[in-house]
Amino acid sequence: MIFEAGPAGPVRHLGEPNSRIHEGVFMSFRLILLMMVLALALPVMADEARLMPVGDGDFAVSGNLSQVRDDVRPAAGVQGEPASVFMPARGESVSTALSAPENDSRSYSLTVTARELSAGVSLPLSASGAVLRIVPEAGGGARLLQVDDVMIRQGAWDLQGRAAARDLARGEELSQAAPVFGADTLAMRLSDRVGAGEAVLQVREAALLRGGRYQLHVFEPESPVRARLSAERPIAALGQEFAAGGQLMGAAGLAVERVQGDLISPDGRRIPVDWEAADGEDFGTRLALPRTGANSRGLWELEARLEGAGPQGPVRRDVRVAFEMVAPTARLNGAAAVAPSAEGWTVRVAVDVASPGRYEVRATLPDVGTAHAASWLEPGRQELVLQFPGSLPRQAVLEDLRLVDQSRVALLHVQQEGLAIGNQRDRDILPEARAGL
Amino acid sequence: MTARSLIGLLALLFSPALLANTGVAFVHGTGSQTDAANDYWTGDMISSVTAGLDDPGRYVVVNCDFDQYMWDADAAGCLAGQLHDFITQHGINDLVVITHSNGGNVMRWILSNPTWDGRYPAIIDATRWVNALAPSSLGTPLANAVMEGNVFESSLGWLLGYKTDAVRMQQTHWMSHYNDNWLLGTDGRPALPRGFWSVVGSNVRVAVWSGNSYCGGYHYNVGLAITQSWLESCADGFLECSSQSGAGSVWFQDTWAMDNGYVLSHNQSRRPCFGLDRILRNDL
Repeated sequence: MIFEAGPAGPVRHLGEPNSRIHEGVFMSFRLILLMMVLALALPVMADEARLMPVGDGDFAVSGNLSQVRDDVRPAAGVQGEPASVFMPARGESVSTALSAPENDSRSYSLTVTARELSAGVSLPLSASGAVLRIVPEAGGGARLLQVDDVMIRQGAWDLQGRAAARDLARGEELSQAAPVFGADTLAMRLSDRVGAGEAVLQVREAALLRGGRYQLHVFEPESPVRARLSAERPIAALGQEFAAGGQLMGAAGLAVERVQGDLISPDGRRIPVDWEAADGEDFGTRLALPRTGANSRGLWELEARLEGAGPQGPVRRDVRVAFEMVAPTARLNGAAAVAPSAEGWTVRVAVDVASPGRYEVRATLPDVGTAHAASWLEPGRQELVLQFPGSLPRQAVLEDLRLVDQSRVALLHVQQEGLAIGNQRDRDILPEARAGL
Repeated sequence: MTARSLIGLLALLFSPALLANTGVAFVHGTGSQTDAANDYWTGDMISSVTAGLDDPGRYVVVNCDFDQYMWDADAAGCLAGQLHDFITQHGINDLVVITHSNGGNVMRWILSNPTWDGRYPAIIDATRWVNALAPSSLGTPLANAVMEGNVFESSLGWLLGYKTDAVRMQQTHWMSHYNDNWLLGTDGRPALPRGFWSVVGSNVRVAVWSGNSYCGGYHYNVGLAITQSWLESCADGFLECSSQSGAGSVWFQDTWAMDNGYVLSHNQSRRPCFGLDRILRNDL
């Protein structure tokens, strides 16, 4: 299926004509122009080709492929059928290099018992205006707290109930406004009287008679102090080494004293990580990822929980980065073949498959468009065929070459410069490519 | 008449677009809906918008489980099924999709992954454009706050900090991953195959004496005053303006277009408030 290009203009005014008539004319002219340009390109003979080497900023599964026993099956009539789609380019070409995940945080959380809340829990603050959220743990006796149950002490101030809050919302009014919050949540923005330094949160014992645990979440929107965490890449394969590092930043005299944290699977499993604090503000880790258990229907997270010191007292921050961990269920074999076809030209891409599933290959011819091909593939040497319109160009590089395991929502191969066609093919040949098609 | 004008006229006369059969789809946000027409959009909103159709009956209100990840069969699969049924049963070849909040992400999944499902290409082909009301394109810090410090125990499941996969997915660092690697249309990524026009809500007004606090339900807006604390100053109580304008193109921000320059809170951007329904109607 070949889509026509749609309008690319970024400006749309209120009240302007919206009929598809205008769009239809524009599409037709663009498509005709595209076909004319492609027709002028000199055709070349069918030819075998090799993928270019995987470079910096690319990702490809390496090593042995794995047979995943996850009983993936195609949905009847939907995912079982082969699909071939060409999408014309819209807008400017962009870089498709993978970017390292990075995240900043001005918040932290604590899980405390009812007994601890009754005695008073220390909350390190680095600025005024902190937002405190108190959530009871499910199934353990803890319950929604009322603002009148809460007391905040800091220095000479002893603020009870509403006096402790600049704004507050609880229960239903919070969950109705923003359904991400449960109806058991008490949220309060602390009074401006509560500023940087250690504050103590205490809850009336009478409100805690049933015990249980509570989550305290502290967000400091007005604080300059933040934790930043970066991971080396957004995708990793099972068993690979993985590195991440970060910094406590935003004020002079900050020092990381203790770092804890876990690798968290999509289903919530936590695997402890050895974090190291170094050079005052910096911290980092290098770990071996698990060899089994990738469930790519969701991201893995690397979490660092920092305790440190700042110019106005203790500092706490929690920060996470998310990345995709994939099982090497298939890989691009390295072989490919380009050839003219009745509708234009094709690129046959070889795929070595270890686990059955629906796989997609896609590649982009810059300024022309992206071809997609997907099909259900059984284990063994397979191929997917990309269909481009127009004549086979004399020279070109197919960019943003991807192999996607659609059954497991996993990116197995992402390559900025994927396949050289014509003379450019001689520039680089993937050395480890095995037998051709 | 110049040759250029003549060519333009001929192109118009022979354009298949003249035979456009326009339909509109309403796509809800996070949550599992069984009667989104009444529970999510309200009948007043739908009847006001669809009055702009030649045949006011050519609309569909989608009911899916958007508590799931966007690619899930119960999310994008369900949406694709209902859109595909609608366009094939009514012969729609000019589909305007109106999404709210996370519904924009699910629609963007379909537009970005055309071979995922055999129904996607026909839907993309029929789509004129998407009017994305307050889309959570870059996620929301509120989802981060909910998920931080979560507690999971294998025998008991999630004890703290977990709502749904959709909430998890809308954490800002998760959406950053999906935008960079799976979805089209954000800054630095290839463009979507169809226009994705966002409507951006920029603030929340909550005051008992203020009439605009009541549109869409006063009780829905009360809690948004404190959720603004987690967000940048330009936000609709649930999403920052940067997230709402993070994919596709900004169609308009509330104060540019709403009656009296009123703002749209996150709950008001799915209701007939301050002329929003009139603008959507005129767009058809």
